[in-house]
Amino acid sequence: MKKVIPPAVGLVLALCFPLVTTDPFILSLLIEAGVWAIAVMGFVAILRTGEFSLGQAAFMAIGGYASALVTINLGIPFWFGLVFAGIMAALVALALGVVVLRLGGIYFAIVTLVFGEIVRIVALNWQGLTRGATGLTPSAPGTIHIGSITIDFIASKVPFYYVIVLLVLVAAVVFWRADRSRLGRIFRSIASNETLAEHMGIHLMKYKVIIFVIAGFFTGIAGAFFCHFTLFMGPTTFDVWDSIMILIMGIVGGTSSVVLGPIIGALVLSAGGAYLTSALMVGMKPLVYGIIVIVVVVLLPGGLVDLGRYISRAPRISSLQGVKRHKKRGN
Amino acid sequence: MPPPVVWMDGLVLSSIYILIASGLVLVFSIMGIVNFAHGQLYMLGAFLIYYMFARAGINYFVSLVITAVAIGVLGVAIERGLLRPLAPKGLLPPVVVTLGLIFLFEGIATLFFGPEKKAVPSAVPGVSSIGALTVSNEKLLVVAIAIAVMVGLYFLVSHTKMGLAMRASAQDPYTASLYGVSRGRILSLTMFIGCALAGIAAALMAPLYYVDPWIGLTPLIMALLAIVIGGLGSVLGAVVGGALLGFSGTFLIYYLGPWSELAAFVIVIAVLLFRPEGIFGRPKA
Repeated sequence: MKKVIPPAVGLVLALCFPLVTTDPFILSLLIEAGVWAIAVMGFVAILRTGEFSLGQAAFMAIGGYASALVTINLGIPFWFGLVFAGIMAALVALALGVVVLRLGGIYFAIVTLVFGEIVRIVALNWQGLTRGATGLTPSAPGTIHIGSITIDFIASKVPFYYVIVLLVLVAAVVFWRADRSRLGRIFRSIASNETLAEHMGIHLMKYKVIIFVIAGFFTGIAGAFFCHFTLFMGPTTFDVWDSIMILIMGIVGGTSSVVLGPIIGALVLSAGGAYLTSALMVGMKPLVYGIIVIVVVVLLPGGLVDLGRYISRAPRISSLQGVKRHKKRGN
Repeated sequence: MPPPVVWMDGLVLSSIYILIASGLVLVFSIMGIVNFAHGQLYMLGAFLIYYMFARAGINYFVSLVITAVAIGVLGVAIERGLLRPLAPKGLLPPVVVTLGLIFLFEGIATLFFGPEKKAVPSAVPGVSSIGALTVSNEKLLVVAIAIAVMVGLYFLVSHTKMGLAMRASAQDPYTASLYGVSRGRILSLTMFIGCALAGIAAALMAPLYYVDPWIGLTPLIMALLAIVIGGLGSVLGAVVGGALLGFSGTFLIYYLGPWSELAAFVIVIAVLLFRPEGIFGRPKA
């Protein structure tokens, strides 16, 4: 019961936030942070199986194009577009994962990075389908009438806000369940000792592919949601830089938890980064991000999620124990 | 058969890929991590050439040497200041730091040098005729310097005591250290050579293309593909992989247009499926 209280409080706070302000700028920041939070959860979940993906933004692109194309060309409602986007991204993740997860390690990192470029090149050159660099202009979800209540996605950002809170919640529950289940324990055993896990009869490939596909599914949905929110989908909407952004958010937030770290990382960096791009000059955002990730890796290897724990425990442990603790996590 | 001009362009592109990929693979073979900021070191090198040669009017060859040394020294600073202290924490933290450096360097370049594209004039204007083929002197220079540098690198690695120490340290750092090979000095030396190669590549490439803060990504990706094709940890593999990508890239762009960019990826996927350790890599025991 105790464990349920902090997330529940967080959820209630998130749900009540529009009562505090409905300022479109602030809500937009939070909505985008929510999109990134889902993608980062996927990245962290994959990382916890011992693999390092540098191509997560490619699944956002696939989801975005899938949803934009079916909603524009076939007139399918946004909600089904969202599900279709998730399924398409999951299928691509399955095909890619079966081939590349066999190699693992540095090969996996390189091939996923390259995969992001492949998706961009296909999107840029397949003029007939994607309209190339011009991009697609998916529309916002249609107005919903429930009795006397009207939910209008164009007049206000609040409906979008609640949709993304719901999506983050669903993704968080799924990733959290996967992490706490027998599966999750297996993943941790993979990360700590692959050979031992394999000798104990655990089919590593199968579980790595499963988590890669789940991550692909939610990342695709996040990408689809984003393009219907910004009303644009082009080849550079999600590119290699965004994949690295996802990684940075994951590392800065902290990878010791599959839900809290990514949400903190996305909130701090996505919302903070949007502020930097709007308020300061070009180039400040990558500069600050670069410094943040290096400082976090060097000084706070557990990420921001560790900050509270670090401060509360600091008086009780000697500095030497602190070093040991981090080394253990680092390996 | 494609016309000779296309062969020449393939040779130029191969030269650049080989220089960048061999620097990357050299660092990987000694340190065991991929320096993802290698492309951004290349980008900074291109800006150095722009400011020294195109703006300050310093002799091109002097600028080239200064660029190579400066980027090499920057690489050593990264290795000493960031990568070495993080090495005991496993492979992930140093790799994440190099990814962070991508953003850091691009941010610095955008803020201080500006986001607009900059042109570097030709170092050796004019054209030469080789038989029926007319080639710009610039391209001949690129190929000549690249070949000279690679021959020099080969001599250094396989025929000097320093190279022997590097190879020994790559194979088994612990045993090498028992024979008096300082691991720390080898790491710095390797990082210097590897990054200097990126600087040289940038100096050669800048007059042929434009310079802006985002030019580092494509060379990095092509270099990564080259070393995956050739086999991680093998400089010879990087040379063959770079040549394969350089020539196939220019040939296919001649026949297929923009879709040719995909061909490189198809080659890599095929290599990974049928020979995951790369053409010159050793299979995992």
